[in-house]
Amino acid sequence: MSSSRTIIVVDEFHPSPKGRYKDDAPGCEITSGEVFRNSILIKALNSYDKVIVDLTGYNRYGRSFLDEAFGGLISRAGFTKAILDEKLVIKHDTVPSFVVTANERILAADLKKQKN
Amino acid sequence: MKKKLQEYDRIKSRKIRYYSEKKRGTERLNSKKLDTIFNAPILVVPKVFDIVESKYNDEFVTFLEDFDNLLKTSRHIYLSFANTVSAKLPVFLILYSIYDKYRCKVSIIWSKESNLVNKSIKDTGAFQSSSVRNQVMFDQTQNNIPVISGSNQEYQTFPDALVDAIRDKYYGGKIPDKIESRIAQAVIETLENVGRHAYPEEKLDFNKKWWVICSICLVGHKQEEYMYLAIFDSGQGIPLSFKDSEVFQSRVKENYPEEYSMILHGEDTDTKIGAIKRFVRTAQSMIAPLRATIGDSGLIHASMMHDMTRLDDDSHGQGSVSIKDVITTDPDSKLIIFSNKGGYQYNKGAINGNEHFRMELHNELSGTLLQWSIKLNELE
Repeated sequence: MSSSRTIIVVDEFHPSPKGRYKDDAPGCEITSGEVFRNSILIKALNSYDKVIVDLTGYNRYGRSFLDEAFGGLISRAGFTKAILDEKLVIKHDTVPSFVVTANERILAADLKKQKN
Repeated sequence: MKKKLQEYDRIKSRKIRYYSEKKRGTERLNSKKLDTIFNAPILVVPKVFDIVESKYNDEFVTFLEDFDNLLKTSRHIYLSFANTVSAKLPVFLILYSIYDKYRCKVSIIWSKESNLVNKSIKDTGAFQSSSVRNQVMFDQTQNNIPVISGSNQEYQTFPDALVDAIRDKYYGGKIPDKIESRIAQAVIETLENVGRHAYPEEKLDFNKKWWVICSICLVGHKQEEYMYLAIFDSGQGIPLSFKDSEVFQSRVKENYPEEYSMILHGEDTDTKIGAIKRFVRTAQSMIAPLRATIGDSGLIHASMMHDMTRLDDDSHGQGSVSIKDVITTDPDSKLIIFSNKGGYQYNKGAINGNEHFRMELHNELSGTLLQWSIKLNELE
């Protein structure tokens, strides 16, 4: 039987995620994309067959947060796009452009990895 | 009795002397004579208080230097807009960045020429202290957002507070999600760039400072509502940050390939000297020749050119996407950036087809000023 986990970002991580790296500015050690990826997302992907990241509830995600959280899975954490296609679903109920951006950053990281 | 009269005369003469010194007089600033009111010097603001029109000319720069010098040495000055015919809101950010450094009271002599100038001064916060101005942003009974100052220390809280204020003051508390996301992204990415690139030598987040203003204006014969949002930092400027960012360097290479190649390789591409030149050429050493060839405006232009058709780009440099994303095809929707000696305008719906417009300034601006004009109902 396949296991799945839904991560409600604003409840489980932070109500207003912000920043790329933990040392971008004071507070980013608990709000940045890097911290979200390392502290929650990677563990979930390693433990469950399916991981749904629900971004709903906050409409102010920066591209750098999304890039580091999701693109960083490939560029820094060793995941492949094939694995993410199989296991990861990203959603936002009212602003679909966040999902588009997150998926675009995964694709960009994959293309870059293939080039190098 | 005689003694009392003598004492009375002495007191009276002291009073006369005191008040004659206090009323209008003159004071010297460098070699210039300044009029005074009760000993407080009057500094005259340029007739046109606008970077685009003045191209940051000598008069403009001298005015800012005089303002700084007066604030440094005085407890109270008058700023005279009496003859000012036009004043652009974003330019006030530069003025406030100087004003906030000192504890000098600034009184205003209002414009006799333009009600719009006076409205702009009021919108900026009329030279109240930074703490009073910052409070206005949170005050829902006031419908403007004056010049707010802050630093990288407030990176976590300020972007949300600003977007909340925009929502409450300009969208009646109900901002559509898509508009909220685009405005928030532009603000967040700009402030992130300030924190990461503007002050490379500065260790303390508190000293990585920025100034923001956001205002609503009616534009054109239809009197449509536009939001003007501007952010200024007094850091190193975009052109000088070339050395710190590989993304920036690759964008210059892509957008100005001939100039880049010429500077990197020199004319003698096949000789030993050419090879040595290439070897010792660092990003730092390329800044001066690049500024001389493509200009600071070219460097700013390149820094903003994210290639949307290429997905395998570097993960960094995403900010420029969000910063441009709030600009729509409306002809009056524009992004204008001034940094060091360059100016760049992004106007997606430019009537003359000139989507990217560059200009060089007469003098060097210390820092970066970004301003957006956004039609309120256009972003969805």
